[in-house]
Amino acid sequence: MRQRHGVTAVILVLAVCGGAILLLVAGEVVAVGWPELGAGFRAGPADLRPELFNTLYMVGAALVLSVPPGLLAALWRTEERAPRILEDVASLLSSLPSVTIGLGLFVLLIATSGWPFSRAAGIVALTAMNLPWMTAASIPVLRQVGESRRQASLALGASVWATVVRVVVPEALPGLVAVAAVGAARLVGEAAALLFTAGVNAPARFSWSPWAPGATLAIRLFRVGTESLHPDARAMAGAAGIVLLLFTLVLLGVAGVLQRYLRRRAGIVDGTEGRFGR
Amino acid sequence: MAVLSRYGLEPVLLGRVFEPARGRFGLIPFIWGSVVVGLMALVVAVLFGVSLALAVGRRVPERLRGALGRGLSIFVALPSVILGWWGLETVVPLVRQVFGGPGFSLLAAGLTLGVMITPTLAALSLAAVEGVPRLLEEASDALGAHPDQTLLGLTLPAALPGIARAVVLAASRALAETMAVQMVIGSQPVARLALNLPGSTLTTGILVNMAVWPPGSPAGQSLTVMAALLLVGAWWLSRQLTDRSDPA
Amino acid sequence: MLLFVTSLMALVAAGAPGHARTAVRVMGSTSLVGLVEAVLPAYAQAHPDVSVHVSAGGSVAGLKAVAAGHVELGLSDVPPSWVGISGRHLVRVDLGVVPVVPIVHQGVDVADVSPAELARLLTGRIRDWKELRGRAEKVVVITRGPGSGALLVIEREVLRGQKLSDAAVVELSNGAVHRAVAVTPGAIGFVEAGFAGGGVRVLGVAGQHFRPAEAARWPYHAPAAVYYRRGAPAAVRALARALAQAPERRQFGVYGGEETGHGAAHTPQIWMAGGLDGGRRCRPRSHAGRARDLVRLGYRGCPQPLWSGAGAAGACL
Repeated sequence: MRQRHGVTAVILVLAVCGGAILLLVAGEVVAVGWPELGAGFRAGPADLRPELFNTLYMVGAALVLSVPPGLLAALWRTEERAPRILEDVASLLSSLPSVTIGLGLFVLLIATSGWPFSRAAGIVALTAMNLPWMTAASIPVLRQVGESRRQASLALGASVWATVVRVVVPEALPGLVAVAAVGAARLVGEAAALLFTAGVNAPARFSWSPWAPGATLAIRLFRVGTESLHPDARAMAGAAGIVLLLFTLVLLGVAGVLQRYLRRRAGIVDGTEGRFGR
Repeated sequence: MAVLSRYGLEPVLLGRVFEPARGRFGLIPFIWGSVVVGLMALVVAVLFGVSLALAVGRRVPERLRGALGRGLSIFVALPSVILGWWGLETVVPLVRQVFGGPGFSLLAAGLTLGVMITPTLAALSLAAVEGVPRLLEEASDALGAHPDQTLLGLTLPAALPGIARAVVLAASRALAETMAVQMVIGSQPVARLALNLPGSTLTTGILVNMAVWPPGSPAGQSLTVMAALLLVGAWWLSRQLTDRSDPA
Repeated sequence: MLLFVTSLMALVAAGAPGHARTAVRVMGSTSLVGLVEAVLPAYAQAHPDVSVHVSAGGSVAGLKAVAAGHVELGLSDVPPSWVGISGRHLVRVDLGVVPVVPIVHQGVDVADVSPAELARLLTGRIRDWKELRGRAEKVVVITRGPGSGALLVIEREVLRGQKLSDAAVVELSNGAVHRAVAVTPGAIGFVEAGFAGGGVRVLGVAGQHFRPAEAARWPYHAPAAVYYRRGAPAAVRALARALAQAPERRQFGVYGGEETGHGAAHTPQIWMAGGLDGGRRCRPRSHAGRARDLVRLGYRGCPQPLWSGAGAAGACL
């Protein structure tokens, strides 16, 4: 009598296929871009450093501008029972195609207000993308904080504010870090919202100015991958892809380490650090 | 919305021809494209994603699980430009060789998008699978159930609400995706049953046309209607989500 | 959310005058954006106090944006009149002409076609290369999105009112068309001259093959130019001049000066683009003898605006 494991076999085969396809995606980017990766960090037409700096600069600024208000909006909904419409609007806006954000801000900033295609305009676009995401994705994380702990805190006479700062946020922090990290990764890979706001060129000389032109790695990958006349265009796009991948990897890795640290400090150890969906 | 009043609700929403230069603004090609591409992507993603979740959650040795889960999460954040580029390099030639036609097609878009949303669906489903109490499964095993029976008869149904939530989130990501789809779909605004030929979705329709038609013109307004349709779609999906999860 | 909107508004209001350097915003044809990028390093050196901000979007978007005052410099390979934009307040600086060239996949063994056959290929009425005495292979048409200069040239000169095949693959840039044609067996597409090599074959028309040295004799051209508003600052005019004189133009498929007689390498033609609305009267005097080519270049004006609504615009597409 042989035990049959048909379902398990099917599931394992599908899972291995799915995993293999995902690895192939990353593998192909690395294989294509590897030869040009070195050139990406030397002066010349393949130089990626201005785009890399723009990506850091703009995503960083957008996070600073969007994470605190997004979190506050989420807290307003979960702790102060703000109207449900807030949650609905946030989740609606977070699934809005980013191309419409880009178009709207082109009209508002570039056309109407006379801004140049710049880091500043790109930062506004990224902030507008990340704010609804931060709000919508933080709400379920905050809801997971046990109601009993909230009530205990309130019953001991703590104000709502103190409960939020001392109980709710510390307990939800690992999850919030994951939400922010995935949000940041979304921004790093964004191109559609930036084409008509940040522009497609990077500054000729290094500059800290928010008004410098703001092409990012993702824009470069999109443009060089489809439009460039350079004979090594394919490899140059691949190199931008590798840096983009590494960037995402480092971002999520740091978030994972941070989560693990926060959980250990809070005394929760269950091996799900660095995951999305918790 | 003057385009609706001038040309009528029905010819715009149900028209099958989109030729702004000739005054025809039928949006059926885009709606059809979005629905078909989204459904194909969901089939691919559910197949691979749920399998990945069940395999990683219940069939993989304990010490590998953390690493694999983290690996999946990294792919959730894979930039869509990279996936579009991969679709162009791999999926388009594959579709051309297997199904004929130019390769750039609704089918290529569905497959590329399916791969793109698989990690999202898998990671969220994994969380749901891991949420199923071990105790129940051990009870089922102890009662003599075959491991496959436990997996299909207990773990899967118990994780189903979480998986449904994952599917809805993945679907809304598929609906909104623009760049990766544009790179492989061929962007032809025609509704047809042949999936190996080019088509358009609402998002690629907006991307292709938005730089050409000014906001005030009838064509520009038809793009606004398309954006509104996307919002309605996203709203409907998010309703599915909130109705299922909690009443608060 | 409300807080965010108000703070955004405050930022918008405070932001605009915050940059001390002169900003020149450039928008338009994706193929000419490459030329701008090539010219920028030298321009930045000569004008250290000017910062240049570039976005793409296509010829029509560039014209619209410069006409409306949204950007300072528009890059376009279609004249405003083709697409119903008033060029009245615009100054036009010629870059030269951009030949639009049909290309096919390497495996296609048909060397050249007649103009009528080219039209039947693009409209999808010739379905297999064997109908043109070539090796049997299904024809796959690759085309550009609406608002592309190359597409407008093909529609005016080749299709003449017929509709492109509805099975055609639409790509958003020359590079994307080139790439799609290179990898798809049986594919035919059209690109601006800078993209007409490397991995694809150039299809001859009426016995003539496109050669850079004989660009003047090639029948299908788009007129490449930059546009700025009258009274634009010196920095804008200087950038337009730098683009018109750039030796890199050829690399991006822009031919000017001796080969074609259009534009000029050292004394760029500059005139009020408003004249274009009226049709032929704005022909540059030095090239009066090339009336045929100038008509071809589109100086005959567009009878109806492109987006005037039902039926009307079919004629000029």
